[in-house]
Amino acid sequence: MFKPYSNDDDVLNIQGDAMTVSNGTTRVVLNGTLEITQDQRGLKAALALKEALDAVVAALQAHPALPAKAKDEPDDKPGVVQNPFQ
Amino acid sequence: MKKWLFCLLAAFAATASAAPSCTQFTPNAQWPVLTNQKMTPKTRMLCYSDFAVLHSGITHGPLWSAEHLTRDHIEAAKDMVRTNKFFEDARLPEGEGATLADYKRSGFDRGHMSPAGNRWNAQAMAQSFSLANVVPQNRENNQRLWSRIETSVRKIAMTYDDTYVVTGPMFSGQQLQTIGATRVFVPTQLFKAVYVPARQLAFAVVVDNVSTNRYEIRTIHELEAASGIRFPGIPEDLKDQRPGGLKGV
Repeated sequence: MFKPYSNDDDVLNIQGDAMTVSNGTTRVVLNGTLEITQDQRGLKAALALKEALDAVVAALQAHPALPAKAKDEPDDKPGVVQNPFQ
Repeated sequence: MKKWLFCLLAAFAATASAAPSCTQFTPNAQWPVLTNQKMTPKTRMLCYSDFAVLHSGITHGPLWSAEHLTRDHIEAAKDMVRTNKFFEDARLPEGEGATLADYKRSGFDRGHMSPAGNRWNAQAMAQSFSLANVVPQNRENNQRLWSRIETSVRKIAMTYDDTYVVTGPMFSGQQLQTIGATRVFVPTQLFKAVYVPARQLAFAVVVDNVSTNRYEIRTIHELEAASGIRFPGIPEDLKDQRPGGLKGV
């Protein structure tokens, strides 16, 4: 079950890797291209995406103090090591 | 002391008994071999249900991930709808594997080596989210170029059926970037070695781990020289082929 904004580690895969919905505590990210064919397979994919997005909308609407725009969080600076394989 | 020894023996026994059970993911049951001896310390073989990984406790990630693709499996994989979860593989001793915290706010994607989109059942797809099967990958690279390369390899498997693929990171240059408290190494390049026995076809794809749309087709011999990994399962007489490019990439 995909619970939006509940963790940084869930990924909903739809049609394999065609479309991914990646969960995050501050953002949910959609990636890919989904072909929703007029068949059972298309319906299954469309329902999965709809369910996930409905949950996103519900979570945002239920937020008690939704800001106009969330602050960007800067990424941590990467560390540096000597390459031990050279 | 005795308890410690037992744990060690148990770990070895588990490795020894698990390894033969997954040789079906590599051609002629021959695993890739590390020719750069500096890469061999703290390596561990991890078998999953439809791919296998050689994990490094130095880079805190995979050195290679091997899979065997068939038309049926790719067909099944294309229908998969599933919520998965990245996880730390409990088989790795403390400190050897990357942690979920390492990737958080790192600015890098958790880039699958054996892709989730090639996994043909729920268990296999779930397992592909092991952090032992991912490396810190440039975001745009993972979401655009790499995703197209993965799709193109799937098409090869759909066309010719049995296809063996090994995917992994490369670490070149004097200094490397790391992420997180575990200091997970950020690869400088990523490769795929593709072997299609029915077509007597073998080649490698290499991309820089940056935001780019450029990929290079290399021969397997060139990949072996650049990566420090040899692929004994691929026949020697196929290792100098260089096809023109990948369809659709």
